[in-house]
Amino acid sequence: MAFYAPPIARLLEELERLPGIGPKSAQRLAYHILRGDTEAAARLADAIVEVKRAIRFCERCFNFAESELCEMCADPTRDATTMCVVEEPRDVVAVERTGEFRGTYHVLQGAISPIDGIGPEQLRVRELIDRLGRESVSEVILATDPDIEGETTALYIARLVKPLGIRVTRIASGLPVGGDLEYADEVTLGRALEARREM
Amino acid sequence: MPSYRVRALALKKTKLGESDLIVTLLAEDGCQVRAVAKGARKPGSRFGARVEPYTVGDFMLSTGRTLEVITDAQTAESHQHIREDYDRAQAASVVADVLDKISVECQTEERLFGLAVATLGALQAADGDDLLALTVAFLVKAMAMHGYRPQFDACPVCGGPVHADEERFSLEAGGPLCEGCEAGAAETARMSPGARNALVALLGATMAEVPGLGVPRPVLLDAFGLMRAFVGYHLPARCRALDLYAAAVGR
Ligand SMILES: [Zn+2]
Ligand SMILES: [Zn+2]
Repeated sequence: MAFYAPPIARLLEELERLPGIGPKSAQRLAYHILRGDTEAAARLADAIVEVKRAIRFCERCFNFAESELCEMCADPTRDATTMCVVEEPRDVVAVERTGEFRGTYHVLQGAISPIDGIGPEQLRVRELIDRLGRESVSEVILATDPDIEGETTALYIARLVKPLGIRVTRIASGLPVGGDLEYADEVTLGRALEARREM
Repeated sequence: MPSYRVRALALKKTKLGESDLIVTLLAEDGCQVRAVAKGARKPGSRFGARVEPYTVGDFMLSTGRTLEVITDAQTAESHQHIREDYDRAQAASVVADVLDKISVECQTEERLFGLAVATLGALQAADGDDLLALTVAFLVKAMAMHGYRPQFDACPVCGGPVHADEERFSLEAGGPLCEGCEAGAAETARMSPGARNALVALLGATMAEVPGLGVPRPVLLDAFGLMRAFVGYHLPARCRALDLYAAAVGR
């Protein structure tokens, strides 16, 4: 059943391991690489090897970092009394893009999902509690996803952090800007009403 | 593409591609349906909370190439109180995981949906030990519907009498063994008299009646341990939510 020369088969096999890449997409990517010049292929290979060599997890917040500390943790002008807890490094990028937050982060590296066998032990929760004991944080903002896994994770962390006398807040969830009220689901609309504000 | 309407409970979701979800549904007739909700992970998606686990709703489905496609969804009961409490969410995750493992595509078992909805409804209002009682009651009832109804009054192998004090429960046969059958039995678990009485009571009660039974926590933990072993023995895939729940209740 050798449809492909072994080097192509090997590339396809590796590409198909990537998230969201099925056999068709893998084939398209492989053909693109094969049609392109050797330098382009070398640049791609280098970039992959380099990112694995140069990037590790921040020792303080578990964001991606180029040295022991990530950019945010190494920045002395950031407000160390406010901590934003997120699921993944890409969520740090999303919050940073808002330009609304100047505190520090803590990346859990996932969310509680019992059906997938992910409990609090599999996340960076213990490290979060350690940090709260060491650092002088006065507010923890829980910015996990507003889905069942994110909500469950937020509930769990709130239960651990509140007894430490630290203020715990949850990002609001409500109607998306630019959306139509009539299409909102009941839970979203209910939450938006609950979190209404004075005008 | 013709579409059809199904009343169903959302059990589980799996990420698909950039922004889609595969939602595992338990339909009203007890069949499992796996359906794609396109764009469901984007904020502002028309699905939003309507395809989140524990939501009961009316789903409009059309048949796609490999999976069904959800074209519309309306919520009947969101079970919001489960999402707002960690302990309830944990118990509900066991319910969803077991239902995901025992329901099968195109295999009807009408009582299963009723059990699922009754359990989630009871979990919505429950606290403390009642959550554990409801979880154990769900496990024994779900196994019964799945074709593994435990038998407590006689030896499930030979029908002979069983003694009232501590007994060996056969995971294979689903009941306490008589002295004769106990000798050659391979997979057994300890069953205390309390756990036995509790399981008989839980199996006979409706979900709404379960909190009123007032079974003490140590007995519930015994019964839970036994049912966990029973579920683990008979289900082909591991229920990881059940493992995490066991660790959380200290069992
Ligand atoms: Zn950092
Ligand atoms: Zn016997």
